[in-house]
Amino acid sequence: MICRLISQALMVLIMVMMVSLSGSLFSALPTPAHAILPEEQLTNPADEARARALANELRCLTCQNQTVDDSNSDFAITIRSIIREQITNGESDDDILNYLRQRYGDYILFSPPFNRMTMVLWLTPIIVLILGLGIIIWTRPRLASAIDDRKIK
Amino acid sequence: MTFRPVFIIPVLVFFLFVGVSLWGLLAITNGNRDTQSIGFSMQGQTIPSVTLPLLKVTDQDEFSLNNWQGQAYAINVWASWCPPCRAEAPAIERLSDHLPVLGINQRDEQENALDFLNTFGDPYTAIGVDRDGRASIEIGVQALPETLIIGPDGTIILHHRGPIFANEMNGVIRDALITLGITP
Repeated sequence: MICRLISQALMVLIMVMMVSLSGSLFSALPTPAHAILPEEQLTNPADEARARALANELRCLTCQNQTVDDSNSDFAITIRSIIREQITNGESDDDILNYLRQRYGDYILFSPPFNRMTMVLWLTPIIVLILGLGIIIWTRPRLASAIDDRKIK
Repeated sequence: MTFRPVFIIPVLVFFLFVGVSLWGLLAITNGNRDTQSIGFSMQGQTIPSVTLPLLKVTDQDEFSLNNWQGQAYAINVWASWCPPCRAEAPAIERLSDHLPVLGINQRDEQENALDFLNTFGDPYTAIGVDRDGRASIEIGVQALPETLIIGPDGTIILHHRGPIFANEMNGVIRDALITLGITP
């Protein structure tokens, strides 16, 4: 009994950890600070929105876990001006991201793309979730019947 | 009480999870993994063309990487406000004995940059002024100092992030020079 409860509790704990971890991977990061200066902004609101969205996907490489949109560092300011210049030149979002990935690799993207290198990162939470649910579903009827047996006695 | 083998699985998964986390944590605290380094550069790719104004008045009117096509050279990105750039100055001097070193002076005041060269020496064949840091991004620079070694065909043989000291001179720099057929 105790052995079973401990093992189920551990599984639930691991699943909660995995779900919260994957939650932080999947969700877009909130942007509390507004590092962007008025003079940096583009006049066309649609272009400006695109620039902000792109900057939010990018890691400021000289900062500690800040996006390019969040940071006041020289690196982030320069990347922001490159994004806006390329948008003005009619480049697509993919063109701009590829320009930066060519120079700084996938690390500059806050959401790592799904590939051979990151497969474990993306799939582990899902596998553990399925495994955990499976174990709980499998052991539950036996747990219920064990309690029933005791009541009958 | 019956013992079913299936109960072992969550315990195993739990300890596996704890084990992997601990290993990651210890690897960082032991200094085996540098959390600041991105481990990616344009090394192996072709150097983009960059044209900049010159720091000093010479017979040429601009600094252009295209002009160096066909020969091996090095690029050192530096600034007077960058302490590690001072520390690596002797190594850059030594590097310039083997191949031309082009300087890219980033986000600096001309006067301060010239003072720096007077104090720490000027090993550079030419120095381009990158006032807003755009040219540095163009060649994949992240933070100062960084040094690149370019082959005659424009391939980036080495992109080293951080200062160059004796360790680097005897290691990655030496290897890059040997690749180019230069005796270090």
